[in-house]
Amino acid sequence: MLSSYRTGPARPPVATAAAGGPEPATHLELRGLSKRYAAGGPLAVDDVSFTVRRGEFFGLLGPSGCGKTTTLNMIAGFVEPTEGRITLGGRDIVGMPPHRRGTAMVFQRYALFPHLTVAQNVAFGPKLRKQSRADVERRVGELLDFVGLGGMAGKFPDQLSGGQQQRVALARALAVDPEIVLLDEPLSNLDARMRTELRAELKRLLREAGVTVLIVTHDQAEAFSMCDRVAVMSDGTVQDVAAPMELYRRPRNPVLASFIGEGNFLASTVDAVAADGRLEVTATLGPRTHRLVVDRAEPDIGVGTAGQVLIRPEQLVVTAGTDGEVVDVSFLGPTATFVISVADRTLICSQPGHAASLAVGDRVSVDLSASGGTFVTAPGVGAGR
Amino acid sequence: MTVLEAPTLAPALAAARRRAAVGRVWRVVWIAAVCAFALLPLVAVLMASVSDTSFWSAPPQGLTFRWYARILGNPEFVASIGTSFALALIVSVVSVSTGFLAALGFTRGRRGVNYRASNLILLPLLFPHVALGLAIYGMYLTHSVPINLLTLALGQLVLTVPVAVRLIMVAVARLPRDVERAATNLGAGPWAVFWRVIVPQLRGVLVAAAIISFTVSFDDSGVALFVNTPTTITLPVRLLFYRENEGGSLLAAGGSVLLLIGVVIVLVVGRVVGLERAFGFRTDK
Amino acid sequence: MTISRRVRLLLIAPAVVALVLSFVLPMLSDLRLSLSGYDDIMGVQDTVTLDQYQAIFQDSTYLDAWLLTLRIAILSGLLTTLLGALISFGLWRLGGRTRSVVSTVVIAPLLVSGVVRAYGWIAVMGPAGLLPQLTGKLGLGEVTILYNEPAMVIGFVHALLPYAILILLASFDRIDPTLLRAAANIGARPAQAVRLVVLPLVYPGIFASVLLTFVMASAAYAVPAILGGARQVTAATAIFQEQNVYLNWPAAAALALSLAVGTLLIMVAYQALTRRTTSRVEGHA
Repeated sequence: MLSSYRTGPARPPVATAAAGGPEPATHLELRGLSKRYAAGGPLAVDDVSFTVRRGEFFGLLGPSGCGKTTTLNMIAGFVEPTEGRITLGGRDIVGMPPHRRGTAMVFQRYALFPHLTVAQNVAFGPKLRKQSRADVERRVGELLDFVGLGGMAGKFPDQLSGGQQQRVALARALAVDPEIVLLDEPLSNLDARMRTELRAELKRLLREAGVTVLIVTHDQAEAFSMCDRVAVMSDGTVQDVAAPMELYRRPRNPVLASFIGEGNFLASTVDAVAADGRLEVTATLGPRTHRLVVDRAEPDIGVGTAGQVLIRPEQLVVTAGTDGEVVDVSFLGPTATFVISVADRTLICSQPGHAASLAVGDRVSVDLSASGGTFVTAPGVGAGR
Repeated sequence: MTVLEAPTLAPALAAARRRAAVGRVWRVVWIAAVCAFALLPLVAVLMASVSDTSFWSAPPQGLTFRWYARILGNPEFVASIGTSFALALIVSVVSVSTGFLAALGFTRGRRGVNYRASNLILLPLLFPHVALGLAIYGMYLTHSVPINLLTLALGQLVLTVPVAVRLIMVAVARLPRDVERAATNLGAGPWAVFWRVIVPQLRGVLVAAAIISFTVSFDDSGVALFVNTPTTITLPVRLLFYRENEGGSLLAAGGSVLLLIGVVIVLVVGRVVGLERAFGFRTDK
Repeated sequence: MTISRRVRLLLIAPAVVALVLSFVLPMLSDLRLSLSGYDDIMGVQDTVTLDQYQAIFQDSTYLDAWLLTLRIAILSGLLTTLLGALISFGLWRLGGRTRSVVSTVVIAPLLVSGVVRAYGWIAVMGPAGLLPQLTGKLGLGEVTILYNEPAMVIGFVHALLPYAILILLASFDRIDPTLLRAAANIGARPAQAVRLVVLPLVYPGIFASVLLTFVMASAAYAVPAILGGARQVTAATAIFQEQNVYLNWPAAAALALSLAVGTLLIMVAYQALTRRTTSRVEGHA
């Protein structure tokens, strides 16, 4: 188990005498996990499977009610699954009571013990393991310094700000040398300003600690900025598992595509597969069709497959012209978004804030061939990339 | 999709499920025991009241309603029912109205809720009821104050007004002020705000305070123990006095009548406001 | 709606008047009475003397009564709180509709007069009651518990349990339920989690419950009168006896005031002693 929270970025897998070889890369694995609350009722979690590698930051992203919190609770042991397996560090943990799993959690509202000081909160776990008082004190001191709360040992939780409370929660979780750290909506309790600050802070601390992390959140920005890979969930199932960039650029289906960011969708069919693996498609925009070359999201897409071309707003190339008209402008600072009415529908286009050049009423044309895009098909269950 | 069951998986999950089942059985047992304990003496009184013996006997030996006939045919007893009812009615009305006004006075000052003054109001609650009863009775006798329903009611106010004030205060303090501001914003004057916005929101707690005051007065055996005349004795006190001369079954019948009246009140409370909510419990979750 | 000072005083006035008439004046009158002399033949004397107070703190019969009252009240307070804490914890963990229903059943007896509840225990534990009939059938001989201290304690525990549960449940409700999960999450077994996290946070409620039940038990009349019998004299029954049987008003008044003041002093001392623990939890919880 790694406890290198003091010594810099995550180490590569280390050979241990006990295992007789390098520690396996797979740290946490869920297989076919399902949860049904009432007999005959709906499945809150439906056949969820994914693996988390050692030292990885893994995100579970989805809207409320998608099953991500139930999944988290099953990993932590607060809820028993109806079916499926969970292995952590090679051990089956289903059926094991929560206090023996090694799945330390940072709760959404921190759940700090209000009657104990900061130091006592952090010492809670180690004390239960009957570690010597000197060891515990040293450990607590190191951890508090690590999270930047060195002078606050004697304070009580209600005397701390939200951000400080969260660091105490983190220190408390790290204090028990967990197999994996679970974060439940870590930033949703904070205002926007604190959120961006703490996001970076949390990421830095957890990386330095060298632990495997599983984050559950409904906030895409949070998931994308903090995680190496993200599993997107909806209606109890995992839609896809991939790195944030893959999910954004090459979403597997239109539902996923619109959940992650905005986009323009054009109905289209595959004409041919190019030499470099990209697809030649015919896309329809209003009465006209266009021949485009686009990226693919799925590996096996044959000629004749019907689907949609996804063009992200920042990909859409817009020039002065007569096809359509700008009907709305939203200047957000870093970007400006324009709604363009063309061929009886609307398209969204965005430009960097400092170079925004369109105004309401401008007559424009869209250049689809220059825009690029990705071909997406109907929704399917992802098996992870 | 089939589940890959490793040899180590099934026992752990099965053990967890067994633990949960045992837990469920335990739960039923202790809940039943607690409810039984709470209701035991009341059930026993009902049983003893129909026993064909003159002494306390539960379960009853023989079955008869003659004790009910006797006690309900006893003019003193029936008079006590009337006395208790009338008394409780007067006390609850007076308590809730004075309590409501006082609650408004304590919570709507310029500086917000005045807890210090209202805590003073609670002081009488710390005194033993018998001490209060004796003191009131003594004062009445010393100053030749006639003892009747009204003066008895006045005496019981010390038991109910503090509770009513506090109970209503908590609710008034919790009223959302924005709602009143919205009403004013839409054109309502202070009188309209009072009658159409404040009072309707307090309906529940006012009813609860009335019922609590009624019950405290009706069940009182502290103040009424002393403040009475041969013709003005409340029901519980009458039952207390009877124990010297009457047999258990008769007392049981009398007690059952008192109990049944209490049950009716409980049902009314449950219907109107919800018992748990009346005492301030959260009913969410 | 902020109310002007003048109107506020007007609103508070009725309640204050009621309490002055039913509390302040009677208490002053009581004080005067307790300082009067008493002659067996002539009755109450218009003198000022400390004879009564001397008697009630030196006479062995009175001292026995004080000790009995104290003993019973402390025992009842502790037992009621212990039982109440266990039940409240169970109800808190239960949650939901079951908790509402069970809470209602447990608290409902509050609405029945203490007189009936006390009589009920005679029907349970007295001769020919449920208990002796049960033990008789089990071959243990007919066991009765009546007219002794255990009988009074049982009666008190039953009568005061609802109050304890009201206080303790409120205390439990203030605890964030995720705390138990957090404790389990970092390695606490269920029993450890309760001991290390729940119990410390409930201390204020426990202290409050012990105090309240003690105070109520020390001053109650119905339970000692009915379940204690003529030979068990507590402060409350002594007050009634002095006034009603011996017609010694000054002694009764002195007893009443001593009981009241004694209770207040105990309360103040108790609060001072428990302040450290209470503020540590409440201040930061």
